[in-house]
Amino acid sequence: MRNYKRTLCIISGLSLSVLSLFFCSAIAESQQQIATTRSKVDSIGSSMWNPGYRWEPYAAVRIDSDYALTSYRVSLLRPTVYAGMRGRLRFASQERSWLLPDRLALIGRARHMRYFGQDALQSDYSEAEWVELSGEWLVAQHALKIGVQELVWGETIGLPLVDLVHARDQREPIFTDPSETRLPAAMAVLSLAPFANWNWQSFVTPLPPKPRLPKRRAELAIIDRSHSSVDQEAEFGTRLGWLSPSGIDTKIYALRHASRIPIYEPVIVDGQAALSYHSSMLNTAGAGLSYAAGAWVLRGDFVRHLNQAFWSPSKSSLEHGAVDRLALGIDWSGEDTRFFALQYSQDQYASQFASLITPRWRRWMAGKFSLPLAGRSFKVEGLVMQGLGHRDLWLQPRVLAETASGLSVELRADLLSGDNQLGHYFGPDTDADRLRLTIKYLF
Amino acid sequence: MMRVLSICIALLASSAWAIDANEILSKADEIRSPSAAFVMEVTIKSGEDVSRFEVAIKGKDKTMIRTLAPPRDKGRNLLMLGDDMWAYIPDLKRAVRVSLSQKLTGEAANGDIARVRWAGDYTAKIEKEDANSWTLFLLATRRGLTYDKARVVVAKGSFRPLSAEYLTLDGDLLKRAEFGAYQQLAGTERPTEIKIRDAARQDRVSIITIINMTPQELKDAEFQQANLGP
Repeated sequence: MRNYKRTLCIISGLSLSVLSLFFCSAIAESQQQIATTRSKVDSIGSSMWNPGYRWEPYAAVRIDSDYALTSYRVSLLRPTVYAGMRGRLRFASQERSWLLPDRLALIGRARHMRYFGQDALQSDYSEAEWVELSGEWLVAQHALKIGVQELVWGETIGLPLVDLVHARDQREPIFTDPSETRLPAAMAVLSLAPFANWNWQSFVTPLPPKPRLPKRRAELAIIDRSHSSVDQEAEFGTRLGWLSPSGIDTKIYALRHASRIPIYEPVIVDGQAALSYHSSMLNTAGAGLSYAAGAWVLRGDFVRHLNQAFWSPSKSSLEHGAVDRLALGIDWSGEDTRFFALQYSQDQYASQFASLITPRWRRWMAGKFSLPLAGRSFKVEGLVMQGLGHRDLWLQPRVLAETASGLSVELRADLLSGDNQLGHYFGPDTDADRLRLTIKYLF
Repeated sequence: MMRVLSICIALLASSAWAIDANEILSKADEIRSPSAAFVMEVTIKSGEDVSRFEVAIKGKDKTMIRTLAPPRDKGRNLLMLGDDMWAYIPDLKRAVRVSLSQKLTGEAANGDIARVRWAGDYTAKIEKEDANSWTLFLLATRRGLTYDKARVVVAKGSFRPLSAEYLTLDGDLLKRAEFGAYQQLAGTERPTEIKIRDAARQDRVSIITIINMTPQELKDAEFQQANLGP
């Protein structure tokens, strides 16, 4: 019966998508005018690589509507209106000096989100933030970028194993793409290319932001006793990369950062059970590789968190130990953006966690495909992630309709089932099925 | 004796004047694009879809492609270093490894734009010759290039590439390309239109049009994964 309901949800969502496309086609009328304006703006600067300056504007509007899929009921959870814009002012010079480098770029990107709460626990609220506000100096093959920005590391697609540089929005980590849960930070990033095929990148985040925590988890309120980001320690890391003559791109990493897995301690506050958030620093080392052969690409990431912490109820304190995470993937890209990928991943927890996490090995197999239909206007995508030796199952069908003008409508369902235990991938989101309709317009 | 001598002289003279297939290929490359660094703007039309790219090329192993249009693909930039290629995926906000043979758009592979020189990537031999043209058979010098084999027709005298057939390793025909609309670009007459047709489905055609081409000094620092982002 539940499957029947899901099917109904997906069909109704598809109908909504088609209706939305018709609705949005009216907007296409204004495309001509926008295109004219854009061409005028583009003509301000010259080529990207020419001396002089270039102004690159960009804007997007997105409306998300989330629906919870529970037995016999589809309920609207929360519409979100998202608006973002970006500008990059780039100066390039022919003469080089430290004051006047090869290229100087000032980059600004901001987003504003308006969430519409649908229940008594969550009222309407807005979030506005700089996604990027930075200056970049480029001298010879070296670059220094200072300011609010995002730095993304890792070779595999999907699980953000090495994508550890930034704190994350933990409110709905499963239902939000990893790239959208990253919290931009004020940091300095130095990129050096000392020898051919070698690159070395280092970062320091003096005042890292704290993760955004959900208000509740498993019916328990979450409280944060640390007061500001000043309580956080500085985060830093380095990455050395080498592209071998055979085409294998290898990278090794070392980072010191706050735990990207939120750690909660059960507490009693005003006679009520609650969860208190703990910030815990850890050291991580890792390696990654990628190799392309024809239409196939091999990818792999491995990280060892040397002192990952979890709250031990029996000891009433934090338990520290090593956690190893591995992802190995292969993907194939074919004609017209056809895409197929397989990925094996596993987590291994140190023996200290034996009483907390059983078994200490977790393995998953994931498959993903993307199939274009009707030229490139429609795309059908699917993700299946199945636990090996345990019940975790994540199904994510996705239908995307997009026009060349920048309008797109996407319907995505996330159907999760598995064990709601610490260490399992889905954690508290297990059995929290979701349907999301997204209408997006890029200017 | 005199007859033998004259035959030897004739043979020597003919070998001195005969042009090597790889030399023809190099000269055809010179017609396709300048050998040093340059920036060009190209469009690729596949059916109703039109994509626009800004392409910076330095030598034969460094290329950066920035997608300017359509809006849905803006930011999907490509970097080629040697035989290796990375694409910036806006949804992931990072560069990921991709292969040269992947489709850029329509029938055009990444390598059709990113690698505009055959010499070095392929060894050539003259397969056929007539009064007006040479037909060269090209064999990839290594795996992982856009195409494993190709057959290229080059005009005699002008060394203009006229057409090409791109083949699989087994010799099966993948695509046909026609080089046309020769116009003044970066100091000489070059093809400004490349029509690529799928061999199996003749109705699937992509037209690469070079709008402009400007030789200019490009710094190695520009060709880094860190610069792929929008």
